[in-house]
Amino acid sequence: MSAIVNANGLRKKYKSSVALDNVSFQIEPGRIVGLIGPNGAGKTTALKAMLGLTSFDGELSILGMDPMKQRHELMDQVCFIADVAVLPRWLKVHQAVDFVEGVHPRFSRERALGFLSKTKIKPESRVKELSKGMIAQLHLALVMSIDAKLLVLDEPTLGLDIIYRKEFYSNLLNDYFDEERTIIITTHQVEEVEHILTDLMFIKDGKIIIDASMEDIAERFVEVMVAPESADEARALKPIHERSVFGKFVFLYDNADQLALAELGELHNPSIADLFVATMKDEAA
Amino acid sequence: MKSVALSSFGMLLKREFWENRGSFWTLPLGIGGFFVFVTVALLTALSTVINEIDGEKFLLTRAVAAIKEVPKDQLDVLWDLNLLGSSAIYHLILLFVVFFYFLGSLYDDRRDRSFLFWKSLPISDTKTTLSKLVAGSLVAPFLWVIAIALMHVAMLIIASVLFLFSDIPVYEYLWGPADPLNVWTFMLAAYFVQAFWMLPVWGWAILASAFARSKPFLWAVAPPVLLGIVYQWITATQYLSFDFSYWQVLGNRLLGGVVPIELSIQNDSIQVGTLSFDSDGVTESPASWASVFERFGQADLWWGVAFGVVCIAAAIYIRRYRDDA
Repeated sequence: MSAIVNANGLRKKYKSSVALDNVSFQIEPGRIVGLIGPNGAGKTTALKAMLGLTSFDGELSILGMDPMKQRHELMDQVCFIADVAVLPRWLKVHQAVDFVEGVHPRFSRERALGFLSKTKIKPESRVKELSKGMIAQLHLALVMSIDAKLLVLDEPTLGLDIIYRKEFYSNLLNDYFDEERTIIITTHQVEEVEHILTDLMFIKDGKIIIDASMEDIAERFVEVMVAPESADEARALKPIHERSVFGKFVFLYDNADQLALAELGELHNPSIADLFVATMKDEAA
Repeated sequence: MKSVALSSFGMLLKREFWENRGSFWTLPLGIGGFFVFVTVALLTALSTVINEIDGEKFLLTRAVAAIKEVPKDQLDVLWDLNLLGSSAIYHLILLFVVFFYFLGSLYDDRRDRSFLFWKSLPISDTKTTLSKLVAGSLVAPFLWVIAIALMHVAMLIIASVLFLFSDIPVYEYLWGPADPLNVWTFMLAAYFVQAFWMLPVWGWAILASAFARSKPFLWAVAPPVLLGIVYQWITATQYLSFDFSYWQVLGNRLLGGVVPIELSIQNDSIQVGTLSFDSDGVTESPASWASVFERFGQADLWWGVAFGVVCIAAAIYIRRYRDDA
């Protein structure tokens, strides 16, 4: 099966900044991709380009379609949650279900009602009467009831309690994801998604600086905790980042000789958060 | 896969009703309720307080009996006038309701960012915009006419009771000559024509709603006013003259529709539609079907439609392609 997303030389300029600087990538079906980067790195612009919400230069096809020219056909196959607060406040829960059922050919009312019955959301409530966490549950219930090929989540858990955040991702994984579907997630809360991702894309200043599967990441990047007396020896092996913990140093290496490193101290895989900090810092490591 | 293409437009109309239930339905019902309440309260007060004056039949009964003075062949026109007259305030309020509805139509959901939810569903921006046009120019008037009809029914029942107490034959003077069904269907037909007549105004409001990043009201009102100032300035210099009056064109468009009644604004006078007053009083009903549909023969109406279509096309383009996220 061909790639779900195929981007080639994507460029997008705003008045004062470059949001996407000649970006190329592919996303295969059945993946959960984390698109991670600091504010203003171009994540949201990339997502908006994929959803046909903003113009761009370069080539981009989603499920073989041009998101600018075929936007509304594309929305048959693609779902997105842009932000927690985008459900209209006046809408009642049962109206939301009726509406999506009325306009979306791939929506299953039974599934939506099933998901909602596991929550405390009442059908007669208006969105404005629900808590932020319940609004996210409602939105997720609607989206998971649509048989879409691609789901795009832009900061879906922003501002939610930890309980809702955990539950959000476990629902997504258990009740929705399968090898036919593809999910793209952007988030600041890297720790919460790292165990569900299959692929990772780091984006910085409009460029993709890491694009790899989680297995490759685990092979490529390694952390070593080193006592202060061997620190210079460790620095000689060109770490991409160093930090100190309890008087010891932790060095992070990309594609280093793991046998040589093993002599310096215990090796382990860095968390995505550590990798994020290391790669997003400016080159002076 | 189910086929949702046909039902989705209906769903979009339903959504507009859900969101605007207050101004589309509750408000006209409330106005009717208020009318009925005030009428009943007034009649009760009159019949108890003024009952004893003169020691004769009480005043209210005498007032009601005045209908017997009206020539029999003019009763139908009298009732048409009554029914249409009592609905005039509705039409005036509806004009504002619809204008503000359109001003918010493509703006409110961008302000609260819920447009991203609507845009996540497979509905084209053309369909969305057209559903709002239809909701404001046809669905809202339809619901308001139903509310007017309910008010009329209540009022006619009150009148019947009053006639009974005043020894006036109810059928002969009320249910015979009055033809409320004709008045209601006339109003619906007039609103159908009105939708075309007002298309340039509604299209302009929808465009302002799609275009404005804030204050759509200002974007809708300021340009025509500024254009008027430029027009005044040019005519004052007398280098150029026009064979039309800008303000007359604008005024005619806003107030010269067929609802509630045809008003035509001349240079120095306002003429009230097709009402003809002569020595016998009003002899012709203002519910004139022919004169309403004659509008479709006027070039004026079609120029307006053309302008409206351009505005709506521009609004759809902005809704689709401008990056508002």
